[in-house]
Amino acid sequence: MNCNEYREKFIHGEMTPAEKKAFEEHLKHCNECRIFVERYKNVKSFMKARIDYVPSSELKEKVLSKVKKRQSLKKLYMASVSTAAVIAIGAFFVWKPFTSNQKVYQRVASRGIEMLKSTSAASPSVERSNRSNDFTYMIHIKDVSDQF
Amino acid sequence: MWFLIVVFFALSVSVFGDLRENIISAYASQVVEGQRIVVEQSEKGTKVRYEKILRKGYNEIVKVVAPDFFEWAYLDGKTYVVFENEMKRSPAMIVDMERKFMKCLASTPTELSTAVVDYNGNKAYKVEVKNKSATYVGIFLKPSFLLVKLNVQRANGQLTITYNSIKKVPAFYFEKVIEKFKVINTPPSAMEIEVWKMIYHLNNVSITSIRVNDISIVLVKGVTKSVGEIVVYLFEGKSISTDDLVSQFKSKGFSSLSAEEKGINMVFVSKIKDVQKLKKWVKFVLKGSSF
Ligand SMILES: [Zn+2]
Repeated sequence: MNCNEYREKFIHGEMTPAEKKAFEEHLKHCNECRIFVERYKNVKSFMKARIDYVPSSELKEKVLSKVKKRQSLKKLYMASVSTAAVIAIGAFFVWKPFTSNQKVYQRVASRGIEMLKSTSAASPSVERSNRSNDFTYMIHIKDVSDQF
Repeated sequence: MWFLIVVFFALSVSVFGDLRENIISAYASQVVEGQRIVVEQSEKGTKVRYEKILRKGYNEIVKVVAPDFFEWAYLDGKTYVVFENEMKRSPAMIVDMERKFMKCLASTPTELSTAVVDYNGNKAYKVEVKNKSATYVGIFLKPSFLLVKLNVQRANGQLTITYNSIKKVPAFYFEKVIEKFKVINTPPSAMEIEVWKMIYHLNNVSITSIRVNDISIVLVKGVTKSVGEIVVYLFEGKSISTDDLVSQFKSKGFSSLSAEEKGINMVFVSKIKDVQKLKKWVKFVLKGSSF
């Protein structure tokens, strides 16, 4: 069997014991299939946690109140973080008033140069939020839409 | 003998023809809820994602739940991105392979073959259709005509959609879900369209934005084969001069050039020495509309 045939059978749990053994052997040598299996298992286990779990109403209440608590903590944290960010950006752009236009351009340019110099991470986007006021959601569109 | 072959051929064409019609009309009238796993394999590697689908005919809401959460919808020929309780028009058409397959099935009767097969203990129709760019193999359960599996083979890779659950639901259920959303039909802004062009043509994309003098500048970074790493600045208005920005980059030894499209200013920066290569890429991206 080739990689695709193995993967196909693996996804559908259609392997005979002998094929399973052969695939395990294959995985020792084939990095791509190993990555494939790992990713598939990750997604699968994530789904189990998300979809198969139907909590009782009592437990739901408990979980919800915990989540609310955590959210308010998170909000507080986010507020402090964003305030800090605003202050930092403010400090950058407002508190140190631009002595000349030249300085503005230097600063604007330096942000892009920083980006150019930073090595591309294996997982591409910064944070993949689904907020309409930034553009990161477009990276999702590219991920899920057929490109051809 | 020839007569028999001709009769058989005619018979099979009409039987398969009917089957095709049945599948197409069944698909268009189904209201279903399902969960599917999508595996894409190409030279870029393997991608796996998990999606929950609510579909009424060709209209659908797709919730991608793993590895990254993302929700989108296809309603009467338009695609939308879901932001909590709102649906906003997508800057590009989001293409579900299922829709492509059904379109191909409806439009290429000549390259069609069908068979009755066993699928996980259920009787099913295996339907294969081909066009210039792809071969599709779909499995439809008998007698419900529910699509439970689709494999698409192309020169540069393959995609497999496998439903691990799918069931018919009452038609009102779809409307009930749609009602909850505020559907915003404003077309995508010029900025969204230009940012999308960059994302579409770049790999390993990351995005950030900065604010300068009340102007928001979007920075898109990515990689292309011909140029390597590129950063694109996109902003509106005239209070920042693209020329001044370009000369900043040039003075630091980078290749840089600017462009304007529908009121959106763009500055491109790259480490590449040959600015002509950058120019060529920019021309290609701004001319070639991707959707
Ligand atoms: Zn392999």
